[in-house]
Amino acid sequence: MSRQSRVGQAERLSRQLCILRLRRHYNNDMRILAGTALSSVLILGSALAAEVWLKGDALVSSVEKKVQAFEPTREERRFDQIGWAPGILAAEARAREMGRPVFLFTYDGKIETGRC
Amino acid sequence: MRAGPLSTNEVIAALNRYFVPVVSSNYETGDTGAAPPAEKAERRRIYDDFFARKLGVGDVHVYILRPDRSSLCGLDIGSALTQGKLAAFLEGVRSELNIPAGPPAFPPHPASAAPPAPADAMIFHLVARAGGQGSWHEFPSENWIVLPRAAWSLLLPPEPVVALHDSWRVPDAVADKLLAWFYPQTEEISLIPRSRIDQRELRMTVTAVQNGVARARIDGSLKLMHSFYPHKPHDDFVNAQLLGFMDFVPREGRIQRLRLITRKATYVDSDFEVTLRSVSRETLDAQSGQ
Repeated sequence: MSRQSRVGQAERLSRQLCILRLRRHYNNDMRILAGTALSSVLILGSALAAEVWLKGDALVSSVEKKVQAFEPTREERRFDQIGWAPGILAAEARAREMGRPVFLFTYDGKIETGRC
Repeated sequence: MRAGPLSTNEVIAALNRYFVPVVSSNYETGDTGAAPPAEKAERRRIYDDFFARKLGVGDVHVYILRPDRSSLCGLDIGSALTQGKLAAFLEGVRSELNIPAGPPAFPPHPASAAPPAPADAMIFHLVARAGGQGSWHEFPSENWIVLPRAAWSLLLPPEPVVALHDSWRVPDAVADKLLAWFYPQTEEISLIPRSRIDQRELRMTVTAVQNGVARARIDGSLKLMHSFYPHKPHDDFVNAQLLGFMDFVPREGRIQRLRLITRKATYVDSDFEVTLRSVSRETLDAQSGQ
């Protein structure tokens, strides 16, 4: 057998091995995927089967409507967009690290609950 | 401040990019407050140093400290609330100290969040809104109520089997926990209720039973004394009519959801509204990104 044909045979073998590995990975992946899908369906199915909810009625609809309408709006929660420090000492330590000034706002009441 | 300058794009951007922002409650850092002693001492040091250097002080006030925590400058609340003044003040500090822009010093997070609670506890979120205008009504107040299993199970009927029109009264002990924050936005110094409940009634009546799940209509009333300021006793009263519902699984002794709202509520001479809803663990986990 010439050197060229030996190289060719080796390449063919290598390709076949590679295809076999890919098939094995593919089959494993498919088995895992199928298993995961089946588990998800079973979990979801059992959860749905376990929890029964009553249909809404006029009372539920009117109460839920008011609850939703009175939730704080995005605009009313803009204060949450500021990265507040948990306390003065923590703010000072971070300010030293970052080379930034501390902005300290002192107030009466409890600003986080809106009762201030 | 919260609904005013601290909610404007300019101030939010400046605080996040150039400062380390922090709020400090006067009550918590006062002599009898719950803040750690070192936090109280630092707050006192800042106040005294600003006073000694004649940089301006106040209970409701903005203080700016340099990165080495030395006193730099301040802004009184009247000026801070004047449109555009706080943004201009912050820009002045940024320019004077030549601060480079960067990410927020701490990750932004909700100011009002559910407290830690045992796995079998029920968690309720309350929102109170007063009508009309004014600084006290610019945004709603929020409270979180945690009922341990021993408390929320008292909301259920005495027997594990229910029929249409069955009715029971919620024991006062657990009703009081749900109703303690049923008043409009007023000044509070702690998360411990300070009102006096003079009369309350929460009555459940079964309106539907199907596939093992039941619904009870909640009718209620409340009379509660609550002074506007914590340290200024005053006979101010809440009078409220309440309405809601509770879905529950009688045989399992489990509540699926509960909602309670004010039908008609007054505090002194003004109307206000409160809504209360149970919040599931799944919802809380989703909100906290878990």
